[in-house]
Amino acid sequence: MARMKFICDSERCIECNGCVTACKNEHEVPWGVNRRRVVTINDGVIGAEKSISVACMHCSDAPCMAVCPVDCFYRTDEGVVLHDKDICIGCGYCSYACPFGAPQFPSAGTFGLRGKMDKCTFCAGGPEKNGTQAEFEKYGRNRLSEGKLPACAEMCSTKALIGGDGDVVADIFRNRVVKRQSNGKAAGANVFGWGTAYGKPQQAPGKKS
Amino acid sequence: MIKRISLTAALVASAFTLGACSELPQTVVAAKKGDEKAYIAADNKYVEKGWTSGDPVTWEKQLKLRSQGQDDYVKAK
Repeated sequence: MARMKFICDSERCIECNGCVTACKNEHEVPWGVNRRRVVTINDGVIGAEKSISVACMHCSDAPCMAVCPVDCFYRTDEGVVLHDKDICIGCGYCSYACPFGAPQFPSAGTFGLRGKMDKCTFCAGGPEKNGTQAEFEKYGRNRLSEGKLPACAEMCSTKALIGGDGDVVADIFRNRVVKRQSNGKAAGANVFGWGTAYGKPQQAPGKKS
Repeated sequence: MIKRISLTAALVASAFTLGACSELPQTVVAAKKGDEKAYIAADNKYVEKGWTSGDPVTWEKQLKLRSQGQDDYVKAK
């Protein structure tokens, strides 16, 4: 069985926000709710500016599922973390628990009322019948049941954002890394952005190479 | 006779009043709906051709084929 995953190649992302726009358009997401967004670090620093597209990562051991007081989350056979808006009470616990800031809350209305949680569905809809109007209105399009992949990944112009079966996605990315390495570019952990996120390995004091 | 009636009435009344002291079970059971499998084709006109609704094998094949569209090295071949 396929295990759906996203990966964003920071070496390719050009911060065009095409993925964000594709998502908003595909699911008719209301103002103020961003199921996906592009995060940039070292903005304006030549050679050091890096961007990645972030949304729900459909964690295997999802913290949002663990903390939800009404147990509105569920995981599909493909590893996609979804939730039932008919059960969600909009408390926001999932928002605190999520390391990616994926859960979003519509704040429409005069007093900015916090509505039920909304997040990336990996274009897999929700518990309503696949592809129905009821499902679209609550969760957006169900592209997986249309035989398609998430709109954000398919719309990505540089193919920085890849989505689909984890094995296939990993193969595509691994192939890139190998090609880069053969062209004398950084590969391995550097390409995954490990050094950017956690710093370069430092030499132990007193040791000389 | 009057004593017996008043005793019975007192017992019935106490049964009613003590009944209010009991606790009802308060277990919260979320009424989760079962989601349809992803390989059941969407009920709309946007479904891609090349796979059969309800068949996970053809659906996975379709997605794998579509995933290759994200690989530039395959596209450029």
